[in-house]
Amino acid sequence: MTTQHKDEIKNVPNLPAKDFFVSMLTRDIDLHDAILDLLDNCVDGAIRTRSREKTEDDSLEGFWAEIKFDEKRFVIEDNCGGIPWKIAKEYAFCMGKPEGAETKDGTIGVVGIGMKRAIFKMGRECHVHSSHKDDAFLVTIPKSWFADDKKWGVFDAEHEQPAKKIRHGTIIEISELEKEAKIAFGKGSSFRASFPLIVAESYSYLIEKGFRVRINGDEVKRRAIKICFESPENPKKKGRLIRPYVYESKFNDVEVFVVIGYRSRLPTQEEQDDDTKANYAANEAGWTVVCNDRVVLSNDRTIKTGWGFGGVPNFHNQFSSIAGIVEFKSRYTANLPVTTTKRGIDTSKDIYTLVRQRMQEGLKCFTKNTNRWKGFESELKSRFDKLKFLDLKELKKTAQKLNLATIRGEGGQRQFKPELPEKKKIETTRRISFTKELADIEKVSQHLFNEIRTPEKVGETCFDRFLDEALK
Amino acid sequence: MKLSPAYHLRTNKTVERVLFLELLRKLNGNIPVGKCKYVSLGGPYLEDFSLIHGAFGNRDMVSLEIKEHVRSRQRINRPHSQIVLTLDSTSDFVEKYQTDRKPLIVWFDYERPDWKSQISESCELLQKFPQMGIFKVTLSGKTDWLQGNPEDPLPERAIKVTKMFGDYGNFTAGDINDDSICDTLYKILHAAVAAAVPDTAKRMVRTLASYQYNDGTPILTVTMIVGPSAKIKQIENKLKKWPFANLNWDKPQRIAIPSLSLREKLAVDQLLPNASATKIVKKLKLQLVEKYMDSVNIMKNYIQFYRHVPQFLRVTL
Ligand SMILES: Nc1ncnc2c1ncn2[C@@H]1O[C@H](COP(=O)(O)OP(=O)(O)O)[C@@H](O)[C@H]1O
Ligand SMILES: [Mg+2]
Repeated sequence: MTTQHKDEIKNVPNLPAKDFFVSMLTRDIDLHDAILDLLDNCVDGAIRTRSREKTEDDSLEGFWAEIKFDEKRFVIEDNCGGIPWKIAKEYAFCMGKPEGAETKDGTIGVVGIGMKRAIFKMGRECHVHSSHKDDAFLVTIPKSWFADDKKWGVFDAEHEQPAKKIRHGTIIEISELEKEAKIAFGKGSSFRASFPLIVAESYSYLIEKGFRVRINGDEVKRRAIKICFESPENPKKKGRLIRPYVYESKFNDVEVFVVIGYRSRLPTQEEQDDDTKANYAANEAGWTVVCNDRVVLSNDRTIKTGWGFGGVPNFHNQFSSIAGIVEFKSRYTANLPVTTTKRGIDTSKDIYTLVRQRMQEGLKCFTKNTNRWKGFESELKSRFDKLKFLDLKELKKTAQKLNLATIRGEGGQRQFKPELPEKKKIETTRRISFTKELADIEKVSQHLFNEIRTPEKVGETCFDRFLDEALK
Repeated sequence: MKLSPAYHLRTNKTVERVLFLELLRKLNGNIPVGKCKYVSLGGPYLEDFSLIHGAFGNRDMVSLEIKEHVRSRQRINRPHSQIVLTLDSTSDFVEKYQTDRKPLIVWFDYERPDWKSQISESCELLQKFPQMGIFKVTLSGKTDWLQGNPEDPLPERAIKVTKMFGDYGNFTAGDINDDSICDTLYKILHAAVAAAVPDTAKRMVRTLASYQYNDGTPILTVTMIVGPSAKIKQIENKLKKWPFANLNWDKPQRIAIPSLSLREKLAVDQLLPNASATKIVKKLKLQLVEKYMDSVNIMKNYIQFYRHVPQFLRVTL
């Protein structure tokens, strides 16, 4: 080894190759989750800039984000205050949040990667234009950045005069689209049909608070879960009532609210058997988990939310009228039981394990009650028809007036267990069911009623007629 | 006893069928239409079988029909003896069908509204549809089967539709009246298909033509193609100039042909193709409905489609 070589041996480069870095970062995230990350940033911006009054009311009224895309580009624009230059300078464009960077209460962003990951997921060229009340700037990530392994450190930024009168907000435009994004953003794509539905679901509670999202010109309408609450105007009313199970607690900085109940009347045996026909199909049943207003899991019917263990049966169509909502809120997003893609729960967090036991307790009230009504579901129909179904906001309000019982231990846990109406089980009846050719059923129906009626009606009438005869 | 109305009483349906035939003619270079297996619910007269066989000479044709007495009529009305007259329902067909290389054209012309299972079986079929196959589905936009308070049934019906298709939206009374129901069903269908067959470069589902019309009941009909992106692009480029195409899941076109008497039709046709709708209404002093502007709009629609309005005399002779 010559001395000349020795001199050279001082360090080795450790810069990641761009290609490797970019693909590692984006491989595990779906396109829609990546875009939801951008939307989350808008909401975070709104939370950061909203007035004191709106903070007190927890309102997002007046804030919006508009998403547009086609085969050439993706654009998201908002009026949520813009990116403060300080944040841009310190970490907004860094890959991950540096130690010590501050976060604002109640926002959804956490690891400091969402925006960059979304950009890389979609394209290879990007402009971020921010108009904040103090500064306005344009950051460009050029196509060449992606090709140059040595180019790390900074992106070009141009300073602009902050606008006085017009709204403050951010525009992110992504072009040089990746193949997957190109297909997804094309006319008539399946993504165009499915993405608004995903936003409607994930953003249900944010939209309820006044935040508005438009996608290619169409406003996203929220999807609310409603749960049956008998006599909400009289919360202290006693007796057997169809009401939900309610639970509240606060562990350190995390507030928890759980509600579970019937979202519709109980499906009859026939409806349970015929999944495709059922007006009460199962896809709206199960648990929905909300973290800082963002729906992170919806209509879950698996072990994740307590189904199928600890005394809770597996999900089955007969339980398709049971639905529940679990809400976690915290100033520190890191303490919420949510995965980094924000579409799923982190079941390993202690707080979640604890709350899940309560969720199971509530769930059991309704699986048991459903079982008690087995075969007699239709007897409850007229009662359900008259009842009120409340959404989360209304449920929380009504829950304040219920008599919640304190549970021992930490966290100030309190719960309300409903006393549901029950079917007295004296088994003097049996269900008759049989299958016949549709054409024959229609023939008999014509014969009996001169018109087509339901098979159930036809069968029952046949039976009743012969019963009359037998009794003669 | 009610006989199903013959085609010549359903002007818009007839026009729509003629347009379907025209679409197939246009596709004929890209898809071997005559070599396709054709599966459909032909009803007692099997008219679509006659038309398609007449135009392209298809041999492999299968009728789905669940009523034995209808089949007895089909035996007499069938345009050629190789048509297989099954007593299978659409769901039987979907269940039995196994993807093979034989090119396929399927038309599920549903008569009764039973959207949930119809859309779900359509999606199931699309999942195993052969590449470059054509699937057409016709849905009835009747809503009275959803019942509801007789004085104001729509709000309750909307709730039922939301319960059925809650995944695809929150529907209100305004979404399910006779005027809007087809657009609503179209949205639901699109979302359901998008979920069942998500796009990949090798396989996607795109519309080629979609229409809504009302011959007494609102009807939605959508013709789709399944295949690789590049080949679908070719077809789309070809169809771009055809005014009756409906690509990329755009909103369905409305067909609303007035039922003109033969004399009226001849009088109007003589002024075409040059005269505008307003001009025709003025010149002939022909007001088809009470309101003047409505008459003009109806005439506009007639002008758009008049070349496809068949002369029924020929059929009924
Ligand atoms: N639309 C926006 N409005 C306001 N600020 C934004 C917007 N988009 C991004 N930012 C800022 O950029 C930062 C980085 O975003 P991101 O990479 O998603 O990380 P995180 O949201 O986890 O902090 C955010 O914290 C936020 O301060
Ligand atoms: Mg973020």
